[in-house]
Amino acid sequence: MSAEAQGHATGVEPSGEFGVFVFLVSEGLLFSALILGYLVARLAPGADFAAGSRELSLPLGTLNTAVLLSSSFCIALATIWGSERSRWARLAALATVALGIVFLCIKGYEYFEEAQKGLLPFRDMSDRYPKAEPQHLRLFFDVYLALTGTHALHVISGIGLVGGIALFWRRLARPAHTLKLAALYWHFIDVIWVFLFPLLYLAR
Amino acid sequence: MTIRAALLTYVGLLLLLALTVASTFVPLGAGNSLINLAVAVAKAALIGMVFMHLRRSGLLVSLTVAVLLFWICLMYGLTLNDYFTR
Repeated sequence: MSAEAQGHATGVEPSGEFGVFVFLVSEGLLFSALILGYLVARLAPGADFAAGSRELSLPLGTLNTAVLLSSSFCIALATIWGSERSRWARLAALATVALGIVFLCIKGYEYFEEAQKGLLPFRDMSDRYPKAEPQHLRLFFDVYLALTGTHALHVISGIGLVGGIALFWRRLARPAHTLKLAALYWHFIDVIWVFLFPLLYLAR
Repeated sequence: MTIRAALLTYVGLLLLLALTVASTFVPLGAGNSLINLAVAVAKAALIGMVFMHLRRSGLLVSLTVAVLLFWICLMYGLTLNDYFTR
């Protein structure tokens, strides 16, 4: 099928947008399954997820959410400016990458703090919480690491994608269009965090 | 999407974030989880509708998103009904 004929009479421009959404559906199902694992663990009898959640840093989690929301705003601006062929598009894409790196740094610092407290990774915490049924806290932190770790891997690939487009802007045939498709992925990562943040940090 | 729409969405997202964090300091029991879920859905809808252009997307893309929601309902419905009917 020729590129022009693709998406004919479906309301979709032959743009790759549909392909990106199909990919995002598979990604959505991956995270849905992980979050379902979280819910099943949380609903298990005796599981004390509130105790685990209280061990996380709410200020850092909130800050990180704000950083990721700002990065989504940045890449939204980049797509608007890209469609207007403004030179600001590339700068806004670079700012998005910078905010993504800030997000990872804060997340990394949180992991570091939790490791200092003996909560990560995969530690037996019976010495630290002799009375508080540590296996339930352990369960929370295993799920926490799986969810935030998978999300962080997606942020890293998003940084590579958007950063690559910004760096090779002049060599791309349709940079603004490629950026628009990458922006869909970036917004998707943001949506996932929007659900992870209350599940992990606000279950107090 | 205009810059104005993007800016309003961004401000809305930050306000929703403030609301959901503030609500954790008010003990409401199961109400806290409900507020958090409602705010998360509202934020996701804002990002999807405005930033991801779902408001103006064609039938095929809307259908793709509907398929995702359908599979999620199936996966969560079949798994969680076991927990809630024990």
